[in-house]
Amino acid sequence: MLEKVLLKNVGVRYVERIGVYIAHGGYQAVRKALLELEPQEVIEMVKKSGLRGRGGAGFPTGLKWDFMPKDPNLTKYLCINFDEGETGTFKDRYLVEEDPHQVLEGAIIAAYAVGASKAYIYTRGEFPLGLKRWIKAVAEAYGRGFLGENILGTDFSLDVYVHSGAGAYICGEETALMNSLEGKRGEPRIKPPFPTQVGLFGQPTIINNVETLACVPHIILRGPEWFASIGTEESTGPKLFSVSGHVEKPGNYELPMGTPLREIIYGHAGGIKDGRKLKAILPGGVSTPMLTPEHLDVPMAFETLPKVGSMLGTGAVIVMDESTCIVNAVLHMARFFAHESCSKCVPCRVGTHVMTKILQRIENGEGREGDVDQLLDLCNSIRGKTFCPMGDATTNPLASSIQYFREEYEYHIREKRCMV
Amino acid sequence: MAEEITLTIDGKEVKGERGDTILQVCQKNGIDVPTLCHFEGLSDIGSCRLCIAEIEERGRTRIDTSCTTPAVEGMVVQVSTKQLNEMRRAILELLFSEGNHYCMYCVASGDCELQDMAYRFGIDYIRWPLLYPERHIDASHKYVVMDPNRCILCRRCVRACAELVGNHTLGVGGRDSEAEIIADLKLPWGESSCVNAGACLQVCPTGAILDRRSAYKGKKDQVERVKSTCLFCSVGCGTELVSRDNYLIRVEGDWEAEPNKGILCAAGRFEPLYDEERTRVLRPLVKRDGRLEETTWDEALDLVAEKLGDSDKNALGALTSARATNETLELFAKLFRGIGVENIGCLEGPIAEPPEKEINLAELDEADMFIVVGEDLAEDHQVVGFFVKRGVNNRGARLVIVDDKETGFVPLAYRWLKPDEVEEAVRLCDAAARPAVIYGARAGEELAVLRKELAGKAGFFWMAPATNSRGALAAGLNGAFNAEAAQNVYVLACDDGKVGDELLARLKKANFVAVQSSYVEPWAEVADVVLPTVIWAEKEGTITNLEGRTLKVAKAVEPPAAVKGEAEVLKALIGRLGS
Repeated sequence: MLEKVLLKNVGVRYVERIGVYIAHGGYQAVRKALLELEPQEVIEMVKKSGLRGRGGAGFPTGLKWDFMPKDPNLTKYLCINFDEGETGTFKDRYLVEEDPHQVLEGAIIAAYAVGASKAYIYTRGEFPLGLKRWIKAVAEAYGRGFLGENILGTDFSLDVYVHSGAGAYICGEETALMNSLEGKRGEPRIKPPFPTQVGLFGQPTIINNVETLACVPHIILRGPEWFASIGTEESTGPKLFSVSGHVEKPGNYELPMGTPLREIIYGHAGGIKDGRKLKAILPGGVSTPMLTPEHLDVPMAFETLPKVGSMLGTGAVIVMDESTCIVNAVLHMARFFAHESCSKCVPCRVGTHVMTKILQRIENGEGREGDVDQLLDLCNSIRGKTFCPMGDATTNPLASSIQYFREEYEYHIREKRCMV
Repeated sequence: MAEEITLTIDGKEVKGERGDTILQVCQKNGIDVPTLCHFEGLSDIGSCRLCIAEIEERGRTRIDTSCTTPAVEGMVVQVSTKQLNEMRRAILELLFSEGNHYCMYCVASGDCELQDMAYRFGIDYIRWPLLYPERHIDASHKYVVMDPNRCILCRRCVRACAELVGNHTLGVGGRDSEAEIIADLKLPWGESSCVNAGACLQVCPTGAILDRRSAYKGKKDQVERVKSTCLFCSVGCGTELVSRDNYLIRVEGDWEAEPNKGILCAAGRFEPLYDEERTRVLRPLVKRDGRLEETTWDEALDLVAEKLGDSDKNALGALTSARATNETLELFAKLFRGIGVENIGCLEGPIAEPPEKEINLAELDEADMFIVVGEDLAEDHQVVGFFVKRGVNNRGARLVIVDDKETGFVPLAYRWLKPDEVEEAVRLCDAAARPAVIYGARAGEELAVLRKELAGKAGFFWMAPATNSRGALAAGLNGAFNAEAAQNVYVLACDDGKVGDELLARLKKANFVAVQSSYVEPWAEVADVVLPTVIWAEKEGTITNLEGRTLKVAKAVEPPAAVKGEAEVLKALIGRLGS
């Protein structure tokens, strides 16, 4: 599939302005949803499309929307998760910077479907242009009557607030995001209750990723069947793959779900830089287990990657060539996790630091015999015992790198230098 | 009655109630689950991960914390498998590698829940590298010291500050290795909004928060604990007096005590031990040539009996502190009524009798609006203030203050009204379902208005002015004292130092003043005879608190050798005066 869906307006001059966006067919989906469809019909369409959350967990979006209480008297909220913090991921930023109204349109439809009267856009603190785009887009949408009271003459009203985070990775986790919006420390909450029951300010809340919402207008306009026809059985629709690392042409590539890694890396991203050999791939950001060249033909989809021990995550493909020291690369990831651990629970808060310390000494040529086993032991002590999924994420690149590149660790410890 | 549920824990079938967490079910059934961050009475946050359990539900097995997982009918739970205990050990080792835990130098060694856990799981080495973080001690607080080296970030202190005291001073700041407990927005603790309630100190599982005075003065197996009642205001908070070798080292809140459920204020927890600067009277004193000199009990009692016995009954006066126990107050009344004294009163002044049906403290936790009339809750009855703060800060209740004075609670208030604007307070009550009116001694006409307008709607809460006001009322000692008429006066001052200057000046002109007091101040110039008596921690008996609850006061330490109890002296006088 070469037709662009989410990126169709990229390259259109000034498409971040509402006039240009509308001239290119924008806000037709809002018109259709609000004027022709009942909220439940919108939910059914999204359910039927098979759309799954693009933020990493891959939860079916329509099902999540359906979990929201239907009582019209309840105050409900929508949160737009634009806290794109996963290392290697830059798809949401791209979508918002290039075409903010597409996402806003999806958000309006989502709010209509679940009956939310207020929406909060949680923008990552490090995205100044994204923030600027949102502020302008929201103001323009108010001006054209797509936000505010009685949108398009219907009973539906929606207010949108743009909020800037302070730069914490964990605030991409939905409950931490809500805490942060409430002015509290950005830390995950206990589930249950789930946000669709008790969410932001204690009200039922839906939290959707930017890319997920960007898919929604297309589902409305072109039908769920069309959307479901793209991709694989369980992962439908187009997907943005942020390719970074040692490739000739890093960038965002919009491809159908299920596109194999080989096609992404060699077909679209121009292959490995300077003709070197591929060594390892993180298929969905640093939270996902590492893969090796032997996995190049695995389709990039929610259901296929777990079969080879990894995850789709955000679809951020980080490519490492043969010149990469795996120990050093994993040390960098461990440092990132140690710095970003919210410090609420012990295994994640301390485990990431211990992990960093052991990796650091291996990297420094001060590694001890048995350190690799200790790292695996540490991974076992963290995995599954943390408050939120971030703890598991911290162990993913480490454990998988030991699985595939154990010899490299051993070499570091034995020879006190790097083998590459 | 909550719905009963049945689940299987460690192969045993146990019962719990719907809404319980797995940990609660375990505790109800005597199944021990190790925890560090859980504390009875505080919300659960699942941060220490020690209470992990293997949970089998609807065919799926997962590991989760038992303190945060709701128990569900038919669940199959394992809490003490070998595998789980190995995980716990690993987590504990992580905790030890994180902080700077040098048990042998630590004030909490032997009293430390982390250390106990380590012994329990047989930790004799730590497999992880130690992180040796650089952390700075905060010793800016008057009563407590924070040593973050020993902190395990369980956040009990943060929750106690927020959920029990309602003050929200403590919080967590920073991430990464810089995560730490901070006061306000990282102020030195001593300069923060802390109100010195000390709940944090009492819930800290390690030696991270330590009491300056009791540090290193006794471990839990060396000290004696006595449950008693705080005598510093009429709330009558349950306390535990901790002493070692007849030396009082610390006051703690009694978690099981009804009025306060473990919370104390600075006036009950710290001030009596830290800030008592008066001179204790150790032997009976008699004034000779304008100076108080030591004498024997017999001589002193004889002199008092002689002066009181010989005096014209109309020139006699008797004053008592309403901090005395019920038993003492009865005896006091018996003694002076017996010899025909009419001029009897309380040091605190006359106490007006409250109407019979008033609400109790626990009901304040359900109020959605508070009207505080003629009382500064930041100064007096601070524990009641904590109930109000909890309501306002945690439950979103409204606070309206009706007062001439700008009280310490005004910044927290929705409205601050002058007494003549009381109608506005009545109007604001329209929005409330369960308003509570808290009134103190300064409440005037506005209270009558509130009583009339809000009858049947609001609950009224009386802030008794003195510790045992209700006891004084019961003994009939609440009347007005005529200081002009009293020439020969007997004062039972207990350990109370709060005496009005005007009263003291009057008493100075009296012919003869005998004072039964623990301290010389402020009686040195007034008294002709000073009879030493016990202080709060040496007393026994009961008091009746502002709700009308009879509470037990227990003796934690023995008084100095020559100091006699309140009742003993009064009985000796009864013997001598034949009343």
